Amino acid sequence: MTTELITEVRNAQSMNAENTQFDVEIHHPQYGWIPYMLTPWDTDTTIDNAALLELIGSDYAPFSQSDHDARVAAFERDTRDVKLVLEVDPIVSNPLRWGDLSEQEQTEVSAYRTALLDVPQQSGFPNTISWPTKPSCL
Amino acid sequence: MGLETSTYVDGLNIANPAATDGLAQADDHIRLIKTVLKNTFPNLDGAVTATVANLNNTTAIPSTITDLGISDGSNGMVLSTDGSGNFSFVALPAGTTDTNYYVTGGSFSGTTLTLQRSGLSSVSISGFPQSITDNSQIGNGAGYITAASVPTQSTTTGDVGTYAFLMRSTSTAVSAANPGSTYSSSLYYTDRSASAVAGNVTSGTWRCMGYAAHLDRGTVWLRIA
Repeated sequence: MTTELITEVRNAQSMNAENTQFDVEIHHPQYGWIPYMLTPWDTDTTIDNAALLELIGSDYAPFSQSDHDARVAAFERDTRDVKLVLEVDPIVSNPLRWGDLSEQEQTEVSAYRTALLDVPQQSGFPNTISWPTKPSCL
Repeated sequence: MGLETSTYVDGLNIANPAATDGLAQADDHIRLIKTVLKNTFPNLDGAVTATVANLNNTTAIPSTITDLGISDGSNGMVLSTDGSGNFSFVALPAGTTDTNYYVTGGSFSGTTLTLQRSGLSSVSISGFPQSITDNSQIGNGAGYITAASVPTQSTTTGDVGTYAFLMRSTSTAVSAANPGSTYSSSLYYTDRSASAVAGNVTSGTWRCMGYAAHLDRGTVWLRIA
């Protein structure tokens, strides 16, 4: 792979307290201005991330812990929503499938659904989450 | 009695006739002189105006072709001979029917290019690179390609040029990811079993190669930068 020379960056936003991860726009020689996520764990060498860091220098929006926590919280809510959509909704929204469950199973599913909905209310959310166990009938 | 026998001037004897010769031999001497003069200068039918210097060849060497008695031609003409000692300027032949002035063929051997010319000897130009005989010689060598390697596409997960099945978080944008759109953030490798965001975040820039609707449905993405 060839190395792309990036000479312009803009709208850099620090994504961590160490200022080693940035959400930034780069002026790519082939694609023009595109969004780019600069991370310290990137294994690709097509773009010289070290040179990109130098190019950003101190011209970036500082890391915001509250924004970071909001991103983590949103991510976990998304995870919760996917579980609801993929695991619970196909059962509870289908009268025939719901009717096939025993009363005990319906109680377990209802409790599981409630527990998922209450995940954001856990005291450790979003950094420490106790995910409810999916009932065996699901 | 002195009367020499001579054909040209250089054969005349300046001692003849002797002072004691009879007058009756005078006409013989006059005829001899006239004979050698005509033999020596057979074509002088006019006055010879050349100076002594001219005749002694002390003048400058002719500097132009017209000094040699050849009429000048036009620009681009070449000097031609009729094979009888007569020269004239002629125009180069037009068209392809006459190849007298052109290269008629050539060959390349080793590092030497040889050109055959019609009516002239061949000329050779050496110093060309050797012919490439196998793929190992395609590369950056001393003056010519000697070896090359085919560019390889990285297969490392997440590198540019690789595809990945990713999910796009709705935390920052709730719109669907349309085919061809590019994103840099909110793309995750996660199967939703992990809760650590940082380790699952993709690096670089990705192009949506499928369609991802709301609620984080995953699709195929291509890393472009």
